[in-house]
Amino acid sequence: MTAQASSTNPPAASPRKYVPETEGLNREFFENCASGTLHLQHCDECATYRHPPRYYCQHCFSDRWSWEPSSGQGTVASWVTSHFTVDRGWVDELPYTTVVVELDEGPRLLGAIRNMTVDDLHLGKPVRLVGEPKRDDFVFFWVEPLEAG
Amino acid sequence: MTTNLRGEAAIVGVAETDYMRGADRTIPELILQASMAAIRDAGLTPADIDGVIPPPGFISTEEIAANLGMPEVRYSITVHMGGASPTAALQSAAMAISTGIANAVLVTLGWNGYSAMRPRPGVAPSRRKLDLGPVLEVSRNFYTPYGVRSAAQWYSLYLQRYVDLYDVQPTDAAEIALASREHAQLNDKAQMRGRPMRLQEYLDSPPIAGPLRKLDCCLETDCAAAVVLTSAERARDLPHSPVLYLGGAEGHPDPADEITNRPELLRLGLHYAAPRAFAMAGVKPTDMDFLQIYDCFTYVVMMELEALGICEPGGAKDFVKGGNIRLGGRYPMNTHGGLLSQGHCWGLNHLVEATRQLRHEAGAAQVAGCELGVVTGYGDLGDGSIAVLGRDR
Repeated sequence: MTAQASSTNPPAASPRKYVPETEGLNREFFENCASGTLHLQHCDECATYRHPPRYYCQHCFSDRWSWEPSSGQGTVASWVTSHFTVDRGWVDELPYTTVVVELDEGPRLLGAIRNMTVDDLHLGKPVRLVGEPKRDDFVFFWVEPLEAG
Repeated sequence: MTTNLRGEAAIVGVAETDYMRGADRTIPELILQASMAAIRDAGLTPADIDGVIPPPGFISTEEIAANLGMPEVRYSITVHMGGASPTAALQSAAMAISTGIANAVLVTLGWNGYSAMRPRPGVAPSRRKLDLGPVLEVSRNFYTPYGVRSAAQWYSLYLQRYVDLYDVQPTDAAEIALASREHAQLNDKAQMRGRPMRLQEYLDSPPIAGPLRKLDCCLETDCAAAVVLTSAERARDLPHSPVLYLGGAEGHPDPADEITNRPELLRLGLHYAAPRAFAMAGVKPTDMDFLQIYDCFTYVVMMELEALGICEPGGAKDFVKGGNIRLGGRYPMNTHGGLLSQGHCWGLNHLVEATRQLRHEAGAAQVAGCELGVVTGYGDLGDGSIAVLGRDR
C-alpha cells in the first residue's frame, strides 16, 4: 500500500509511492477530505462545484466558497492503462489502470481502480470514489464499482 | 487590429549540435555551441545580438550573454510551454524586432533528454533542471500519486478518447512513425539513420500507456539548437536567403494546467492558435508546401493536423495515408525525421529544418521549389504554438 514519502527523499528516487507535500488551496482540499469523506469546492455565489481547487469561480468570478460533502458517486469518464512507468512506487503493479470519474456534482477526479478490472470498465459505468487518508493533508482515492460484485 | 507581424522579422541563422545518446559535454556547452554557430550562420557576431530567449530551465540569458560576449541585452523573456516553447518564442522575437525593442534575437534550447534518466557511468547527473512550473502543482497533487507522471500517461487521458471517437487504428498512427523513419535515412544527424523500420516492427513494439506503443513515442536525446531572427529589411543584407515569419501564435487549452476537467477534452492549444496564425499570414493551411509537426507522439500529430485545419476532425488517419506526408507526396512532413527519428530538441529542430527547406538547402530531403511551410509546437498538458514561414520573394 501507499507509504509516506520522506521529505528528504526526492519523489523520483523513492521506491515507494509518492505522497505530495501539499500547500495552499490544495492542502485545504485534502484537509477537508481527511475524514474519509470527499468534499468538493462549492461556489457560494452561483452554487457550482469545481475541481481542482481554484481561488476564483470560473463561472461568476466569485472568491467565496465552501467545502461541501459529496457521496463520491459518479460515472466513468475515461481511463488510462499504463504498461510502462518511470515511477518506482508503481512498477510492481504494472499494468495498472487509472480511472477518471465524473462525479454527480460535475467535477472529475482521478483514482486507482479497485474491486474491478479494466475489462469491467465502460464509459458511463456507475462508480464510487473512496478516499483513503494517508496523512492529515493528503487523501488517496480509489475507484470502485457502485454495485457490489 | 492596427498592426500585423506578417513579414516583419526573418530567421537568418540556424544551427544544431549532433543528436546524441549521452553527450560528453554539459548542457551549457551544448547551448553555447549551437548559439554561436547560429549567430555565425547569420553572418553576425554575438555583439550584434540584443535579444535572448533561453529555454525554461537549464541556462539563463545572463549566462548566455556573459559566455558568448553580448555587451547589451535589451530584451529577454522565457516561454514556459514545454515543447511548444521554441516555436512560441518566435512570436515574442518578432514582436521585439518589429517594435524596435531588439534588433537581433537568439532563440535557443538544449538539454539532457537522454542523460537525465541514464547518466554516463561515473558522471554525476546534471544539476541543470527543466522548470516544470506551469504543470507542477495540479499534476503532483492529483496525477503523480496514482503513478501517472509521464507525458505518455498524461496525453493518453485524451488520446484514448480520440482513438475511440474516430476509430483510429494502430496502422493509421504507424504511417507517421514510418514516414519519419524513412526521412531520417536521408539525414546525417538523425539518431535513427541506418535503422529503417517496417510496419511489423512498429506493431510488435511494446505497449506504453493508453493507445501508445514504444514506437509511437519520440526519442530521448542530448542536444541543443538555436535560431537567430532580425528584421526582414536587415535580413536581405545577410548571407542566407531570409526565411520570413509570416504568422504565428500560441494557444492554451482551457484549463491549461489540468486535463480531466476540460469541457472540451479534445481541444488543444493549437486549435486556438492555428486560425490566428494563418489569418495573420494571409494564407491557408492547404497552401503549405511542407509540414514540420511537433511529434512527441504519433497520435498527437494526428490531433495537430486536425487542429491546423488541413483535414477535418477525425480525418488525420486518412490524410497521412498513401504517401501524402512522405517526401514526394503533397504534404511532406517532418522531412528531417522529427522527434520520432531525428532527435528530440523540443521542436527547435523542426524550425531549423523548415529554415533549411525554405533556403533550398535541405539536401536529399529538399522539397523542390518550396515557398511556404508551417511548424508547430506542443507541450506541457497540451499547449500549442505555430509559425507560418515563407521564402522571401
